[in-house]
Amino acid sequence: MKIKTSRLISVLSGALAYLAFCVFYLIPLVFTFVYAFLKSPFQMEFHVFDNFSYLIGNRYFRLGFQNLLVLGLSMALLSFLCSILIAPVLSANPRLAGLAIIILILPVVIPSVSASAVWKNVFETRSILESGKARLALLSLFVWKYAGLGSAVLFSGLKRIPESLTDAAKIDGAKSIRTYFSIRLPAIPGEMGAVIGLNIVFMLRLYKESYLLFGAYPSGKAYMLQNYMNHQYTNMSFQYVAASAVILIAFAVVLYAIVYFLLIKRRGAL
Amino acid sequence: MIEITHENVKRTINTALSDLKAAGSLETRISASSAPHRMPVRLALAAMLAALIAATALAFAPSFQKVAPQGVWKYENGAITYQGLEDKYPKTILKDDAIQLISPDTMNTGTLYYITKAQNGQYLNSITFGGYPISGPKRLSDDYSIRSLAADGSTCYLIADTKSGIGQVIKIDAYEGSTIQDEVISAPGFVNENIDCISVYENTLLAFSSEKSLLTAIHLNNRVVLSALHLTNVQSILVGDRFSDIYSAFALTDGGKTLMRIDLITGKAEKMDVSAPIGARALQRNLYSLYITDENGAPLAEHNIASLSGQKISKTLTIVNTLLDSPSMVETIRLFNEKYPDIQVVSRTIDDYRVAATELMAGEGGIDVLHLTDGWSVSPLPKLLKNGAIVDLTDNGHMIKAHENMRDIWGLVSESGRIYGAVSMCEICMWEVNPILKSKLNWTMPEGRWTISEFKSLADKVIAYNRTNDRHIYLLADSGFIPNFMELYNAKYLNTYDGTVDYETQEFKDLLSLWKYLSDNRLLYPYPKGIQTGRIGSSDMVSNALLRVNYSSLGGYGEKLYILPPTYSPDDPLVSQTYALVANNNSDMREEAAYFVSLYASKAVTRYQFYLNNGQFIDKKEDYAFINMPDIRKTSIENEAKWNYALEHAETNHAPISLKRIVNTELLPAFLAGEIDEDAFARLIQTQAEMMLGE
Repeated sequence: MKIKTSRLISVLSGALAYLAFCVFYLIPLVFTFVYAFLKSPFQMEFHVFDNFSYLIGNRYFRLGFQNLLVLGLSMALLSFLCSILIAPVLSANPRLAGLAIIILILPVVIPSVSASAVWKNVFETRSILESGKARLALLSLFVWKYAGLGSAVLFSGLKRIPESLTDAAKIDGAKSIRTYFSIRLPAIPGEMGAVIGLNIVFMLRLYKESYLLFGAYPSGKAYMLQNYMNHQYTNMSFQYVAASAVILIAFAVVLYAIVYFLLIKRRGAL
Repeated sequence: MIEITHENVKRTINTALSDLKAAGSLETRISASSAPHRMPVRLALAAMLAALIAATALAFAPSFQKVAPQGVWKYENGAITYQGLEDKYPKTILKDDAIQLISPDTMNTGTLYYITKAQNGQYLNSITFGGYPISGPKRLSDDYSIRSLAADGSTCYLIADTKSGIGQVIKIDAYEGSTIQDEVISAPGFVNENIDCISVYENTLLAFSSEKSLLTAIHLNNRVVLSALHLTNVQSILVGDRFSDIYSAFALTDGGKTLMRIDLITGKAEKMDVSAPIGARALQRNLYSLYITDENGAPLAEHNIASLSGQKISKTLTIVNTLLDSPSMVETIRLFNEKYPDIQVVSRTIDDYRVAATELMAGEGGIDVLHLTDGWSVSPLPKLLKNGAIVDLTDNGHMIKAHENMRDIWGLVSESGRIYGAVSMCEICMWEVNPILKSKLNWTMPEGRWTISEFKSLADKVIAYNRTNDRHIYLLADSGFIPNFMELYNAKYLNTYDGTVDYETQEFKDLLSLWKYLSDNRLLYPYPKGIQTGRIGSSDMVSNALLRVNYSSLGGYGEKLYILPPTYSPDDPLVSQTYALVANNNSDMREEAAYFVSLYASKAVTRYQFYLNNGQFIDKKEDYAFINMPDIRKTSIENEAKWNYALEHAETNHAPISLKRIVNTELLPAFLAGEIDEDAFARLIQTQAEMMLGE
């Protein structure tokens, strides 16, 4: 009897998990893909690649995607580099690390509205007239917000490295910088992959800050794919939002695959 | 010590195997041994998932609920309290010992009207359930000894003893600045005396006199007694719904035990097969429901008012963001129900455009007709038409027929020849002229159209005047988001349907140069910061400005002096802000929604529009139902002619809001400060406009 109850609970919990997976993940994802091939949400006709060819032919989609590649990846990489530079400072002062991590993670929880207000004042953002300055504002805001979180993740990885490893490197004559870049960092490829992955995720979600700084339509230099997608949504062209999302998913998968093979798999972290 | 021999090892293995067999399979053993430890984890997981799904279901629940019934207002111990249905406890809205009477708005908009008495008189006020005052204090006549109050929109009805009679029904406008006079309700056949209770809804007034045991129903628009019948022992009365052949009212009688339905067309009363709960004392309603309440207004029972009224409903047609009680909307619904008697027209409010957009795209049955402006919808209406979100009415037979015998006003609701809606209200842009400065300048105002070059000559005239006079005068007060010149330019060249615009023309650059010229010579009235982001606070003519840009309904023009805005050439379009009723292309009832919109645009309904709101859409002015209504401010014949001319020559300003914002916040300040020239301005705005239109 006991065994039967146990099996029943097992089946029920499995079914619930499956249901939840379907409701919260699978169905929205499938519908996104379905809408990507529809003429519009208002005309349920399948037009196989029309939406994709429209997007590829649209100069503002291309502009947004291009900026996402250049500006977005610059943000992700610059933030990653800053994390790499901050992490050893934390590691060298373990007593202060706890407090420092709280301070570094704080920008993530500070509402974007307050942060954007400060940036607006500092940069006096005029996206159309000073597009270079606008780019700099966006870049610095991203680094300020996410580099701290990245450094905290890297620090947690650095803590795990046995001291004997760094001691051995010192005995061999390696200086601290060399030890950090050649011994300690290569020992935490998983954490590095996670930070890059997180930065990519944050970069793909970067719209709120841009909107708060420059409004819905920044200059061409700060116009991202997210702007394009949001405008298509307000225009009720959901088919283009969905098709853009599919392209973005493919882009994110490719990026993740690159990070996975370069940093994690190749270095045998998994 | 066991010796390790072949025999010993074999025996040990056999023993172990037999033990295993005795205890069942390995899988069972593992399950049996670990089940007590794993069970709570599984249970916890199942519970978490169940909770997650339940929470999701609850989150979606409100969309399946009926319209939230009204909350309960009370006045006790010197304080007004309000308890919404989702509130656990009543919250205090206002403390005032001087309150004499309270009455919630019949439309259930969450507004309460109340009367206070002070030493120097009695006052009418209103407040929302959030505690925000809406109107008042409005001083009421000292002649009124008020017994009861009923509110319908911004109009209140009192039962009061006056010098002219006891228990009279008096209509008053709630707004303190209103010029509308109080009116003792009169209608042929209605004796406005000894009235004990009243109910008002959608232009129908019910009045009951217990002394005469007489219930009278009056149509307030044309002051006709619809019905008068004898009833006894009445506790409360309520106006019901009106359809093509149904016009009903309700009465709670026999000490609150019986609910009666009164057919206002035949004058017959019948007992409803609805049991009134114990403690029932009053009737209240909103658009959808009839509530039987206790003496404090707390609902005891809820019924669908349309089906109680006698309508056989199979579907509902939902209109978003409009009230259903305006005369034109009442008439549209009446005509609509003639063709679709089983469809009930209901109204919803959606504050956020994105919510509406999501619902439209999701294809929920929640939206059939929308009341939209470009300002609210973020995306210009022609763009929504092109994307298939709203129904293209260009070839709709009903729509074409609807505009027979009417002026050509398609420019207000079409682009590139495609019609997308029906005009519900429009504000035409004209310029107000300061008559004192006009005579000081000795300026001969042009009749009809005038051009930008004539305007430039006028600017030179003002500059010359300023050189020789101490008191500086401004040529133009323009509090718009962007200069009115640019709005006129957009109306001419910006096409959101085709996605085309051209700012890099000499014409646009000339307009920019002119604007700079006006600015450099201090001819533009400097509105305080904040006002120039809209038209807020700019309703009055500035005393030291000659001209003022003004968007208004015809009724708002009054007797003041107006001139058409100057245009580059005499054939250029003028500009308007238009509110339109559009049909959702994703609705299950697309055909019905389009029919509803076409009905709203028809002459049969337009004649119920307030003429002084929208001007003369219909060929013959005498065809309007309310042409001589005393409630509406009069406008001069000259302004009326100009306004109606502009109406036929106006285009709706569809320029994206973001474009205006960029001009207002970046380009124009930089241009006027000399940071960029006309060429750079035109190039930059062209780039941004192409982006907005070309996505």
